[in-house]
Amino acid sequence: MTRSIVSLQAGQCGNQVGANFWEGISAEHGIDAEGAFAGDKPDQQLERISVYYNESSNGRYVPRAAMVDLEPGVIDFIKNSSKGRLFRPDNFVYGQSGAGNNWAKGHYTEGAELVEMCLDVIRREAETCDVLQGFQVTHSLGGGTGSGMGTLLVSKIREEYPDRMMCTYSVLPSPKVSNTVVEPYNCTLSIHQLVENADAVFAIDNEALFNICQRSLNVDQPSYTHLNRLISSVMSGITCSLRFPGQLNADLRKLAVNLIPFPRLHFFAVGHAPLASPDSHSYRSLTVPELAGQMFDRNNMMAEVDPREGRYLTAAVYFRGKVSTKEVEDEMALMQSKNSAYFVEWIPHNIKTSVCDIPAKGEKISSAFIGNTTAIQSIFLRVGDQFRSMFKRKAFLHWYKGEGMDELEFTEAESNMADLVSEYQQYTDATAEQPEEEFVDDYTNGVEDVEEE
Amino acid sequence: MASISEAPLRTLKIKTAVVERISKELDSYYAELEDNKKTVEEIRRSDDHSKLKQMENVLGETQCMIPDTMTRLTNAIDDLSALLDSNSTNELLAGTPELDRATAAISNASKKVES
Repeated sequence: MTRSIVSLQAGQCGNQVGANFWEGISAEHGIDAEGAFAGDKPDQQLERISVYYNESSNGRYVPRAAMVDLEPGVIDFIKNSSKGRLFRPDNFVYGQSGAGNNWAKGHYTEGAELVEMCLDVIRREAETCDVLQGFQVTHSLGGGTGSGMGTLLVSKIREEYPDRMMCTYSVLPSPKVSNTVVEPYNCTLSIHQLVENADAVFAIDNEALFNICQRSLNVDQPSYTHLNRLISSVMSGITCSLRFPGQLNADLRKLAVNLIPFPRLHFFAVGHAPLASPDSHSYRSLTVPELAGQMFDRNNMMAEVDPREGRYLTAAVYFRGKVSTKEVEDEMALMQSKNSAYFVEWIPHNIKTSVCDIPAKGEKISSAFIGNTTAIQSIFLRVGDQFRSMFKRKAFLHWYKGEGMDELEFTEAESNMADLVSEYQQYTDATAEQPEEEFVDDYTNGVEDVEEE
Repeated sequence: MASISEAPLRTLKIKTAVVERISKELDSYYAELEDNKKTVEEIRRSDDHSKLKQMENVLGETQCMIPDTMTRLTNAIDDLSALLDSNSTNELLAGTPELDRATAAISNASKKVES
């Protein structure tokens, strides 16, 4: 009785990232471009294959994925690429209008027209699951479709499946990577939605990806190909516990139980080691201490945050490949005692470590990291500053009002994100000795029992 | 968009599905618990104990999910029952297959909560 995930990718970025994700995990599970099994470890590669794939009557493995966009470009590209035959053809849903980097078009106008068709695909996929654990969405927050329509789908799915887990891989915009002026608006409006309607958000920050390419991979002018490859490797890493047998955090709900002590604080920084340039693959294999060191290094985080400016509420670490369990345990104990100042002391055992025998694609050993750190507030501060500098002059608001949006929604989104920042700060400063009266119960704002809706 | 008169039917369907899904989820955790126990036993009997600690932790995690899921199921049953109570005189629901399905879901799921 495997608990399955329905996957959804929305918008240009979401579809590219999603397609790379499927290519990456198909390689790890031994699924070839036609969906046939061609792996060498069927026990481990297939035992939990139905988390992400449907098995068709002719023995092919088909991604349980819906691909959605408001323009045909990237969808056509994926269909015609080498991995195009992997997907179920009628799970591609697309329009012709585009969203023009306008969240309102994705969320309220153009996107709303297409949303029912998408939900039909999602319902069909959800109904065929023996047991459904939840949904995952890949999208970016800076544009119009992934952000606006992506969060519309998230809220529609939440309405129909209020009891299922909703997790997103959300790519945050950076002026270093793209120069669409309204990205801070789109991003803030999206985060407002994700605070309320998602259970877990893996924050993938283009600013950090860009810096990783320049600093660690010696790529002066990173392209989307470079960034997407980084995202794909980190997604493979952090989903390995969901996909292979014998793992901690083996499903989305267990992951949330372990990683989320406060419901609203569900935005994770993620990382992956080793970081290797795709062009010059390092031949030197790393050791467990080196992997652990890299993983906790701020230069490896795929969110532009300094973990030393905040504290870890919780973290999950996966080592992959042939590593000694004993060495991993010792190393992680050492790591935590050396860095104890950066872990809140009032949650004991807040790092979960697990070992997965199946290595990542192209690596002998590797590691992946999920951190719930209060330092993540700095990306919301960054986006908030960019938002406010435009919003105080009401720059570009007419684009959104033209689609029927009210200024009030901007104000609400901004203030929800500002609240989130102060909640993170509250727990950065919290100590075990602090009397509990000092804690205002405000973090429960907006957290309703989903069953009560 | 659903018109106002359709709203209770839609809510009923959603809340029924919630009970059915959590009920299945509970079964899946029971099944997983048995699998985990078997794996732990196999590792204990084997010569290689390097995976034992991790597998015991995996088992522990699954164990924790059962009371968690049980609570969610109880809440979902209560929620659906309350909806049925508040609509007991609603003619739009009377005699519909959706109503039958809701009643069946409550009665099936309630057995799991009691046991």
